[in-house]
Amino acid sequence: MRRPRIVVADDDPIVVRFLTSVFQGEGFEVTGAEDGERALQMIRENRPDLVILDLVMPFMDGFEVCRQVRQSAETSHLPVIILSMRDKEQDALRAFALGANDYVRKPFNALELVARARKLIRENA
Amino acid sequence: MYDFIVALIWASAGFFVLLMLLILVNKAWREVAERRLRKRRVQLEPIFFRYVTGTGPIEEHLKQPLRPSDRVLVEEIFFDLGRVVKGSVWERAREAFERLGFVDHYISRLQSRGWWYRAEAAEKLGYIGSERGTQPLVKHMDDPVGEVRVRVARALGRIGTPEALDYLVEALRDPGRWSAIRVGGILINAGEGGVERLMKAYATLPFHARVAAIDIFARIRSLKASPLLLELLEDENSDIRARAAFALGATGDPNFAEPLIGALKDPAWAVRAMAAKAVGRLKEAASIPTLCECLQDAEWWVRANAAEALKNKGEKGSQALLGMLESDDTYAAQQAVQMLQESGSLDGMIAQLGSPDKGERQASLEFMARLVMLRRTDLLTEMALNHPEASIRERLSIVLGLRRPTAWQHQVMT
Repeated sequence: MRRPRIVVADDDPIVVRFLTSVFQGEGFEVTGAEDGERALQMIRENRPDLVILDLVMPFMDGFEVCRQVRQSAETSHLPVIILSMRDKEQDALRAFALGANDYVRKPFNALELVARARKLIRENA
Repeated sequence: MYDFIVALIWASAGFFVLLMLLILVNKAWREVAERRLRKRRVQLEPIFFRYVTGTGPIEEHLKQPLRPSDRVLVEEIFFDLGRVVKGSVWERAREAFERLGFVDHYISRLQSRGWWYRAEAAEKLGYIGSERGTQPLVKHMDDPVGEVRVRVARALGRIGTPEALDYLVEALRDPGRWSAIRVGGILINAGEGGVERLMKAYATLPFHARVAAIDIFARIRSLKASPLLLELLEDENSDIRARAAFALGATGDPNFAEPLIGALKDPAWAVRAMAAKAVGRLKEAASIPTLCECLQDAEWWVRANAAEALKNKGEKGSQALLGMLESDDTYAAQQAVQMLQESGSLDGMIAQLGSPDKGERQASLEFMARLVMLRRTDLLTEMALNHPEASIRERLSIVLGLRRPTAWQHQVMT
């Protein structure tokens, strides 16, 4: 059986490295990106089962990545989790309006994030 | 002389070449050291990531003991992780700090002669929230260096155990040594844990500390503090009553409307003013009649806060403000106009001038006439000149007496 694939995009390298380690340990195949443009490229190339996006990233922010993911017919079905330091209600509402499936605030609980990711992948399968 | 100048030039050139070489060697050495550290971090990170999300003590995950130079890296990894994770992962990181001897190291560092070492150790003990650090930290609440004292207080706030917070509450008593604002800020960050300790100590606190405690309850919007705050609405000191009213309003809980309506009739104007501000934050309508009475209060601050509160009450508040336009008290009517303008209700009434419904047009005209009588024609004049609808511009000009209506216009308007 194919291992579930995810793309993790965050401008903070420790988050990318940590999530890569955590999700790999849970049997996922992980691709990391440290800016929005690279994330979008990874999503188009790798066709992941889930995307985890930070909001504040260089070149293209998480909102824009999310919008473009939803706009493209090939990726519009992808579950997207926003993982952000921003705790304002408007940011979460905007993310959901752009099609995000979940919004997790940093600092986050890593095991809970894995559980959320599994649930979304299961629901999307 | 010539030889001397040549020798001097050679000597200077030699000196600069040597200096440049030293700089280059130093830079190269630093780069090598940094590269070595980065490489080592890449080796260590997966081990610690696996540990924090796995089971078993840290020693089981480390195949070989840490080198002395690894300690800085381990600290960096955990602190970087601490910025982004919480819950069981962070708990495991804290456990590793204990087991690897970091906590003991920081505690011993608190005894350093250099104040920056003490300050850094306090900060780190707070960051990892080590309960064992409480007592050693408390000893430094009287550190001769202000920066160390502040970091110790912040660390105690982050540790957040009742014992640690009690020391901060104690610090509130001593205004000479501790700024109430600073300690207050730390207790606010400690959240409901700090509220509990403040409530317990409240009766024994001096006046200034009581005031600070109530302000902290207000900032945290603590429901836990509400039983005490309700009692304080009856306090003999009006400053305490006023702050307690404000803190109850900050919770936004409409269950406190009734006691706050009582506070709107307090003999002290400061209490009435703060109670008006407080009820303005509650989503309820029971206070509207009393707020209307407050619009005629002898003190302007009470009237202003009552008007603001009515503005916040939505449609029912706007209706009450419209009713206040008929008040004999000119100041109350003026306050009402001001709030109707700020809430956008005035724009709605102006738009009604163009309504096809005769009743709505009539109500709007009567409203405009009242505004003209109160000499509040600023917005009306602006709209008479700039409203996007020509018919409304024309009708407003007539209401303001800027032009005479034709017989047909008179008929349409009325």
